[in-house]
Amino acid sequence: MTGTLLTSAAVCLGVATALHFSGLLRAHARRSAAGRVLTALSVGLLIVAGVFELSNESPMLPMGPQVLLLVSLGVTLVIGAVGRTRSSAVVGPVVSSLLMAVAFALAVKALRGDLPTSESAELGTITVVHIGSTLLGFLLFIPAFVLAVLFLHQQERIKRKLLGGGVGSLLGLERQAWRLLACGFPLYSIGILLGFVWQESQGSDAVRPEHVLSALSWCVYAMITYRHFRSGWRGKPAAVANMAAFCCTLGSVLLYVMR
Amino acid sequence: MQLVILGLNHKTAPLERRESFAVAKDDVAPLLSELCATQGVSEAALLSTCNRVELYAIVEGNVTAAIEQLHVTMLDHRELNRSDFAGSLYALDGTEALHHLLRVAASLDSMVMGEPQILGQVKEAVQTARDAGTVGMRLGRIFDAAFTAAKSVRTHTEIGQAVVSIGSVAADLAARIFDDLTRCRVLLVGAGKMAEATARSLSAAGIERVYVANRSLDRAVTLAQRYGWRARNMSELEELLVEADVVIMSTGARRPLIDASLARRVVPARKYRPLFIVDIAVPRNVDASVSDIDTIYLYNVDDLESVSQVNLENRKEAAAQAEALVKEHVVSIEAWSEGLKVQPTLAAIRSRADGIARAELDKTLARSLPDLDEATRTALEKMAGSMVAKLLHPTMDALRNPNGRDPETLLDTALLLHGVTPSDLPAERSSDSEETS
Repeated sequence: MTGTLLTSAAVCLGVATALHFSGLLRAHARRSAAGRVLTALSVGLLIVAGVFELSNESPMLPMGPQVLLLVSLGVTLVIGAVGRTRSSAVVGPVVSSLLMAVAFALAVKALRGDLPTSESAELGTITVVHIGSTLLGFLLFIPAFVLAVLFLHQQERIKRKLLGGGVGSLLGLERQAWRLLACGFPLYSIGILLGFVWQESQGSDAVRPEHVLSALSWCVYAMITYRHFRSGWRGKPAAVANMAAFCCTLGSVLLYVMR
Repeated sequence: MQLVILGLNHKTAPLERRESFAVAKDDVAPLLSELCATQGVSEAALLSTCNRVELYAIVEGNVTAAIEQLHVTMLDHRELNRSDFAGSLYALDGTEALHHLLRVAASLDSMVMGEPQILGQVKEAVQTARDAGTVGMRLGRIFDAAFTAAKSVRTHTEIGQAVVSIGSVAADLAARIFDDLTRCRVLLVGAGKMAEATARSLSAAGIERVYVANRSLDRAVTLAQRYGWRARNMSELEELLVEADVVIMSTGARRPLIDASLARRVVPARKYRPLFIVDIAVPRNVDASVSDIDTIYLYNVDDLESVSQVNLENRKEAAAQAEALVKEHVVSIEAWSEGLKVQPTLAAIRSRADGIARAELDKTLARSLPDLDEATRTALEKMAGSMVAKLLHPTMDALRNPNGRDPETLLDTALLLHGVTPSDLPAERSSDSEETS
């Protein structure tokens, strides 16, 4: 039951995020509205899943993921309430994309349960560097994601000719975000490469959801970094791509952590 | 005979409507001649700026009919749809019109209150009308009074201090896009009065990397040299758009100089760097669809209104003082206007009294003092004239300044007491021309 509810919520949130991003990029109000409806529906599904898990004597999710679910829901409701008063077009995409990453990770966790620990797995140098550089890259992606959100917020205000309440110059926000990506992407790449090497050394050829998400996020980060440093690509599409890549990374990191 | 204003401004009409109602510089004189040829309109002047298009006219007889005639000329003859302007056009007459004109000239009705350009624009409008021969004594006098009021407001209040100029607004807004505006390249397109005003504030903001582009390169060179900037040819606009970070458009072009296709071509060439465009021209120099392009930030004159609201809040006290001064000037112009109304009566009374005095003097001189020398004769004539003037002074004064009494009753009484019949009154038009001469 919990797995079904979480999967449904993750799928709804995936569609909602796609609608939100599309609405944001093309200034399409109806798509954004549809995204909001789907996000609300997903939040409802997550609340039901949370209630079901808390009231169930043998829950499918351990304590950690349960707390993650509750905290995510609490933060979402607070952001949603603040977003309604501010009527910013950025709130919807941020909430739905982050919540999607969490819902996806929880759904996978609920459906597959605990993975068997490999007996030959040991914490060698490769593993330490793999985990260290991936996490370091992820830590640099967090402020880059925040800067992308602030950029979109500021750009929306400038486009809508709203004065005051600014969060810095657009160019400044972008420059900082690109610097963080320029530092984080090589670290993240090393982490993924070493993860691949480690998995090969374990003789495992299983493709898990976290692998897919990591590869997906790496591709998006590679694409935006390449386009930016080659042709100066920037602006709203770059910020949205940054957000999308971060959500994939977040999903994959959560899956690794919950493993 | 009274002042009538027909027009629209930034408060009543959006930019698109002001654009379609605007009159090009070259079309003003023919339009004014056409207006003055319509029935009931004797004098006219037209003010067409980015924020307002107003027609000032002196009308005779039925004011409602005259306003309708102005509507016909301003809308129907220019093939503009009346329903499009239904809620935007205003027609003012009498004291209301006078008050409005003085507020406009004193920059109290401007989008950026206290900005100095409007007075120059009104003066230019009057000069154009004078050149076209459509400003006579009445309208000329009213405009002179408006200029005096504007000067008085500027001298005696702080309305003109710390005004938010287009250049400073552009600088403030650009700071939300770029880190350091002094390192930005600014392109100023146009070299007219607005461009000059913008150039002053850009220079004051310490911006040094400025290009001036204009259809006439000579004017661009003149403006650029004044500030040590570079002048560029208008044919290089696309390359300039690639180089510039901030573009300020203020040309008199009737069609957009920058459209979406040009802007889209420029974006990759700029390596997607943000481009901030301030379009202060009416009609607009930049197509509105350019605003949809992600890395281009387009502001037009209406978008600057919110900035002017902040400006207004800061100078409420000065505005109140200025409004009081304008009201004083309105009262004095109205008094002068009332004086003009009684002018034919005053002239008729004076003429009759002078005639009587002259006849009696001639009779006395012929009968009793035929041998009087010329000097004494002249002195007696002067004395008679002086006596007439002094005897009539209280009447004249009371007619000119009724001080609360009914002017019509006073006029009738004066005519009765001085034995002047309505047929003795000169025609109104002839009295006007006498005064003009």
